[in-house]
Amino acid sequence: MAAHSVPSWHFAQRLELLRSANLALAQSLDLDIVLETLLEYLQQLIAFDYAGLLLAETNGVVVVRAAKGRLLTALPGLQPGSSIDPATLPFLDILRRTLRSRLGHSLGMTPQDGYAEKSLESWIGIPLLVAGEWIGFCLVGKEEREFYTDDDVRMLESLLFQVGVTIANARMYDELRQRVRELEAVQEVSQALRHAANIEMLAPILVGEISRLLDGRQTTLALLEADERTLVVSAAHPTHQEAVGKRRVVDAPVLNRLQQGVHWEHTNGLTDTMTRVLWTPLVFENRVLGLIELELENHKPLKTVETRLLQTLTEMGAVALTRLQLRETLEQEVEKRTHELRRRQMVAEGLRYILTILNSNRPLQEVLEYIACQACWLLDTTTGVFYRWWEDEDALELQAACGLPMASGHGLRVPCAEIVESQVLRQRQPLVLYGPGEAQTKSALNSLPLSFPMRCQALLAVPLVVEQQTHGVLALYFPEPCVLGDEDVVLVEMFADQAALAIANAELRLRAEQTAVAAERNRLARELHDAVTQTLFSAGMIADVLPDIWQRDPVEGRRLLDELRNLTRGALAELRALLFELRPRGLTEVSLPILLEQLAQAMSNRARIPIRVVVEGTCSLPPEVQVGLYRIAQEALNNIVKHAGATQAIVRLRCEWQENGQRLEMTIEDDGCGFDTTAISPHSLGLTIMRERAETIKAVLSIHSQPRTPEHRGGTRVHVSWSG
Amino acid sequence: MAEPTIRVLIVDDHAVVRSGLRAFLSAFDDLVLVGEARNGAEAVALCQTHKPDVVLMDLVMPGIDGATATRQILERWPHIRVIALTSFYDEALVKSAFQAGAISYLLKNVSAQELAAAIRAAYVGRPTLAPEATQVLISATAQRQAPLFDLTEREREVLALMVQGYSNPEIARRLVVSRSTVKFHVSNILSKLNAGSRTEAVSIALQHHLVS
Repeated sequence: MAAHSVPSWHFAQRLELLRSANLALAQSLDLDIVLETLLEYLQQLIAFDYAGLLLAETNGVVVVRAAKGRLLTALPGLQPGSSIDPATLPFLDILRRTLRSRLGHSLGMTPQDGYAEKSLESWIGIPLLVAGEWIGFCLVGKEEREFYTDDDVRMLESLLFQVGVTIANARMYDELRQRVRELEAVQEVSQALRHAANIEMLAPILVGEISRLLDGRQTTLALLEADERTLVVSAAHPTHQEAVGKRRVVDAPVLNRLQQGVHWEHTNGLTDTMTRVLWTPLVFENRVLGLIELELENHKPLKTVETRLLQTLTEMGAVALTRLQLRETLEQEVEKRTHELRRRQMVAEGLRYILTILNSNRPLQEVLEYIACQACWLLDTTTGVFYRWWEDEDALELQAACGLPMASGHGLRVPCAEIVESQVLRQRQPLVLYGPGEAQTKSALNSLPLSFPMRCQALLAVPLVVEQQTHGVLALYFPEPCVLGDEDVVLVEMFADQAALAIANAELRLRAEQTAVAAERNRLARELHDAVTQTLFSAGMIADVLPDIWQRDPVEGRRLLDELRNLTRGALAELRALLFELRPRGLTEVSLPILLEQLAQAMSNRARIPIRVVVEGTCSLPPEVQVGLYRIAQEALNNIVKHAGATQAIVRLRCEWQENGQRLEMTIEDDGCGFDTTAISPHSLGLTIMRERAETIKAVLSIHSQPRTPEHRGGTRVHVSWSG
Repeated sequence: MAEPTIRVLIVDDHAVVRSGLRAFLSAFDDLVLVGEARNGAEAVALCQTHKPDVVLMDLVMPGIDGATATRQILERWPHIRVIALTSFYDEALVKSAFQAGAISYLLKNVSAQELAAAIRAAYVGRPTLAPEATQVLISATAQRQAPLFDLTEREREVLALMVQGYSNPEIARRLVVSRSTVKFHVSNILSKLNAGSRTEAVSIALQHHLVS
């Protein structure tokens, strides 16, 4: 039978065509170009409705690498890219086993391509050989029956026997090129991964590169949570925002497979509805970090080189992830330490300042407010309140607060919540509540003032214990949900201790003030007793008996009347002197000479001796100096009245203005019994009081005394000098 | 019949008082001033010299005080009558005067006639007591016998229920008042009894028979 392909061709023409085909095929090392060229020459050489070049892959399957022809679309099983297991197709199996060309009929009725619309009624299959090994097949077919002849087989063999080597070379070159591309890709990815500063940056790079290198397949990265059961999607490519953050709890078998580090086909994708995916574990030193999911649906199966690439990229990803995780852990640790140190420093500074405030005699409420604010600041909240507990009334009184609006009920009393009373006030334990849903929290929050504007999510309350008594509560309110630890409790307890100290201080101060007031009252009472009461008693006595005495002895009567007048005047003077002292600024409103005059009159009345006041010059004295000088004169005159037994006394005051200010000298002198200044106790006779007064106003005080003897007239002289 | 002449010694650290008392004594024919002392020590010395019948003794003085001087005088001269004459009337002072042996206690708001009458009474061994001093002695004695604690009628009722072991809400129900009213009463009771707790208040109430 004559060959049907191009019947009119001469043998010489065919030889020429074959030669030029061999030349053309030798021009390129690119497999795709080689195969394309081959199909073109086939077309010139022989008529066909389908021509395909099927190459064996390393895994044994045969893949249609190039195809052409009228019936191409009608033969789905023989499309470019289709893979075929030779064992399932009888004609391929025979070709593979015999390694001989074959002329056949009716291809297309096999189970694999049973759905084909058309069939190749006449076909030629030629194995492609290299050194006696097959690397694939060439298939040529026609729709008409018995179209091809043995001549056609021989003609094709003459072309294709030479081509095997060319294809093998091209494939090797292709592989080499692929390897180079792969290496370049890996290097690029490695570079990119190395520059990722954190996992958030790394994840998209990793999935992006894998997707790019593997045919644009949907690629997803999922990381295993610390619970080692939950996978969380951290990136997907092509970008798929809804997927990010998706969670999947996996069971033990899956975890075991991940642990083994070998990829496998999975039927349930992390994203969307994909049912065919490839899961490749991200494992570093036996620690499962997560996995890379690769889409398998709608794509060719992975080539060996792709699988290898995926494996390499996954391993690199695992290393990079581990590096970043370690770094983040380290950074977190450093930050935690830094935060802790900063907090400790803040606490120390806070305490130091509180101590200065405690020592500054500020009002208690101000101190407590300050402490509350410090506590709020350090615990990062807005509101802290000191409550005082009124046990009998079962109530808490707002004593001081930080973070409450002005005047939002200082002194306000609120009922005390059960749990606060039992735990904080009775058992003196700290109370920590969070979660607004808890009934306990709600009940504890009822202890807030009604005008409280804030919705509170957590509460920390500690007892305030002052001198072994439960004084009240320090409560911190948190507007945001938060978790409060032991450290926070200890911190607040420390502030409560400071506050307790402040309260104890304030109470002591109050007691001291009360004592001082009581002492001052006693002093005034004594003054009244020493002065006015005695004088008025005496005056009363004289007034009672004056009528009788007048009748009996008018001269004596007149003398007593004078006496009576002196007494009442003296009483008046004493009262005035006392009034000067009672009024807040009584001792500074009038000048020193007037004060001394008043004092002298009062003392003269008490001692029943004349006391003169002599003033030279005028001075303008600072208030505290005037008061100091007055007190010294008062003490000196008191001594004269009580102890001196003098017949007279004199107070001299001399003021002069000098170049560098004024100079004042005051002397109080009597002619009484005197005393031995060396023998007398320095603490008696108010000498100490006089010295202290003088020191306070920076005056110089000296005392000279001459004890009275039969030979000498005694007397005492107190001298004060002051300049300013 | 001619009245006896009573010899009087004045003891006071205030010159103004001594001068008033001098004028006072000069108005009465039966009273004679025999000396003036400025303190306890002088008083004892002048008693030695003048042997007065009656001493007008101030109590609060520098040095030896009035009570001490009184004791020293009466130890040596038991027949001398000492009248305490002072401006104070606190319990301790009044008691110290009587324990020292003073026959009378007068305050420095006494009139000349009253003082003269007291001197004459003392001379014949009759005591005179200022009303204020009397009050101090009576109330001091009364307090020791039965502290009244100054509870109101209502507080006594509440206390009685507390003694029977009723809680505040129960007391409120029984007395038909609000719970806060009961709390108010209870806190008043605690403070008046100077009790630290309910239990202590109940124990004080039983101890002093404050409730029937």
